[in-house]
Amino acid sequence: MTFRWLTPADGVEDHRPSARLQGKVSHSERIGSMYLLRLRIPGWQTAGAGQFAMLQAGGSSCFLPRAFSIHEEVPPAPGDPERAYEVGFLLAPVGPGTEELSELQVGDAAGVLGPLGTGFDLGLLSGAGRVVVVAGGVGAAPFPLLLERLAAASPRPREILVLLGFRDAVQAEAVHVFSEPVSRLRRLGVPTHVELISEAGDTGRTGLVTELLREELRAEDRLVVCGAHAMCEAVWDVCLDFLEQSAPVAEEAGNEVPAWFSLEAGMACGTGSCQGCVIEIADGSLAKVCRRGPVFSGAEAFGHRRHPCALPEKEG
Amino acid sequence: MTPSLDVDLTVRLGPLVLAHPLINASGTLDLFETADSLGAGRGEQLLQDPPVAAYVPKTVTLDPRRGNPPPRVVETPAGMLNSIGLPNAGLEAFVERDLDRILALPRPVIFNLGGFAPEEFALGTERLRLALEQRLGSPRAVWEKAGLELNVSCPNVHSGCMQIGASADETEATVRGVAAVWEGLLAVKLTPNVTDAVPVAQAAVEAGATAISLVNTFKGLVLDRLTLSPYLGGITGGLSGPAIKPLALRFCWEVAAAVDVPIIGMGGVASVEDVVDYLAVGASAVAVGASAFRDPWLYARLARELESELAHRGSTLADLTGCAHRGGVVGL
Ligand SMILES: Cc1cc2nc3c(=O)[nH]c(=O)nc-3n(C[C@H](O)[C@H](O)[C@H](O)COP(=O)(O)OP(=O)(O)OC[C@H]3O[C@@H](n4cnc5c(N)ncnc54)[C@H](O)[C@@H]3O)c2cc1C
Ligand SMILES: Cc1cc2nc3c(=O)[nH]c(=O)nc-3n(C[C@H](O)[C@H](O)[C@H](O)COP(=O)(O)O)c2cc1C
Ligand code: FES
Repeated sequence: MTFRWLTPADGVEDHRPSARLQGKVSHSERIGSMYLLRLRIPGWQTAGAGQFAMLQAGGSSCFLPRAFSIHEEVPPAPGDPERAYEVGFLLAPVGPGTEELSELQVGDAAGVLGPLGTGFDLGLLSGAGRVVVVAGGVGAAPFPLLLERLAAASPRPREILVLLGFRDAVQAEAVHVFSEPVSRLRRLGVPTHVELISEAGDTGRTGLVTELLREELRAEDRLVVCGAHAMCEAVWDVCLDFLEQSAPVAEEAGNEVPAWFSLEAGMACGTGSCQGCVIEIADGSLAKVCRRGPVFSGAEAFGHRRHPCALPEKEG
Repeated sequence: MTPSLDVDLTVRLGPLVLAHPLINASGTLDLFETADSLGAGRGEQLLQDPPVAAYVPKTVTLDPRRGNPPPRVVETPAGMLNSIGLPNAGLEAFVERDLDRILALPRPVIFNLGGFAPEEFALGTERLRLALEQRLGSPRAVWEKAGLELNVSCPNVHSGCMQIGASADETEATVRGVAAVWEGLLAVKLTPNVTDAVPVAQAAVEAGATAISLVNTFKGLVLDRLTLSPYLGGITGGLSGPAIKPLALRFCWEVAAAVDVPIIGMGGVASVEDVVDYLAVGASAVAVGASAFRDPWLYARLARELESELAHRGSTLADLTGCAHRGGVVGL
């Protein structure tokens, strides 16, 4: 019965192995209704476009970290003894976790687990005739990194079209996150166009991003898509319509519109342990968004089904 | 590497020897998925030197299960509610696909078996035992590497699992059937969704359980903020995380006082203070569940912190274990 509780005054040593990296905010900026958060992260290993990280603000009052697409990544400066990457995230505050992260100030700490998940396959995009980015709202997040990677790829796509759907003019300010990668691609001789549409109609055209896509879609396009689930389904419907019109036998022949979707699900672990993040995919099975995804091909995720689809039946 | 502080943290759970008291709670750590997620460096490290003193895989059932429809997880104040629903490929596929790599881990393993009737548990145990004997040779080699935890307490399947654990009679029948075919560590994982867990724990021990694990999750409900209908695909879910710690600690305290077998304590463990509390109420091992989602190395970190605690006090693990029942600590 000699046990006694220790206090910090007893000088307990800190032995803490961890997979969780300690990020430090190097930049935080409001862009319309979103926030750009840059973290300096010693120990980070380079990410693939479309991968995500689990983030939690230092001193967070939330229990679980939250998933965020990797938005940009700058490798360690030569001679940096910590070999720290600067990794950027684009956040839309929608609840306690995202709000805490958007309130972080330069110098504040954030816990980071990542990069995680399966991102976009650059090999399937780099040789494309045209890559079409379709993003809704904060669904824009993964694409600046993807465009940077396509700019560095060989071969590069011949052309790039970025279609952005926003709620209103304030949210549409996020278009600025594309300035750098777009000018880089243009400098490299890849014609790159950005088109905006908003539901409120207070900037650019009025309507939904699927309307732009319907007008633009061509046979040689490869699509990369991120946004609300309903938007993703609507984009896939546009793809199926296109396929039917351009080649009525294509579906039978197993032909598919090459489109990849970054999908969302509520997550607890982000690393495949909890089985909490499953979605029902086209073959009827449940797939973990954090492992098999977040990027799924359209055929894999949605198959040939039309939307709105029936809700899955509840078991038991 | 940090220098060893020369504190003996060794724990014996029947024939299993654990280097320290910290293990994972079933269903909250898949070492292989996590290793793949973390990539080459840290992933390999995770498998070569797992952060747990024993590895507890997710519940396996005889037949494959799809689990509950999404959404399956939602955060709650200081915790989370899950309605995963025991998805798994079934025992046969588990033996074929997962068993070898699990046995290759340099740790003892506590397999977690689920079921919906006493016979199912006995049948599953027998099959698992055969598969283990095939791989490990002698029965003795099996008992030294592998223990068993019976999940009679999952609140997320509507066809019976938790009903067994809520009844002393059904638990006794289940454990008796399993004990007839399993001589290794036999832990029974109890539900906190009862007024008193002591009669169930006593019935389990009476029938041959050599350890008691508790608690599984507390049944709970979260509504969709917009529609005001149940949010989770499984309607209700199981609550875990720091929110349940005092509730779970009370169950451990009561059961530890009433039975003579080692206790695997769990429920809301997030810090070394929590580990100390569970040990103090009489747990021999402490399992960490949802809090390790934040960091799959949390178990090892807590073990190190426990080691420092004991070293600086010159106390032993034995001093600490169960001290709450002996009047608490001295010298504060
Ligand atoms: C792979 C992936 C990448 C992501 N990338 C980004 C990104 O780059 N930028 C970004 O801003 N976001 C991104 N998200 C989304 C982000 O993870 C969530 O917005 C975040 O988890 C919200 O946390 P919160 O605490 O702010 O809100 P919460 O309170 O957790 O609410 C968030 C969502 O959870 C659901 N929810 C939870 N509880 C309830 C309830 N009781 N009733 C109804 N609905 C409920 C709702 O769908 C709600 O919109 C990504 C998600 C995934 C899976
Ligand atoms: C996502 C999740 C999945 C779980 N799956 C299982 C399971 O398959 N079998 C089981 O016996 N317990 C399962 N549990 C319960 C935990 O093992 C543990 O008893 C409970 O979560 C309490 O510990 P915690 O508060 O540290 O999470 C699960 C818990 C969570 C959060
Ligand atoms: S979030 Fe835990 S398995 Fe995907």
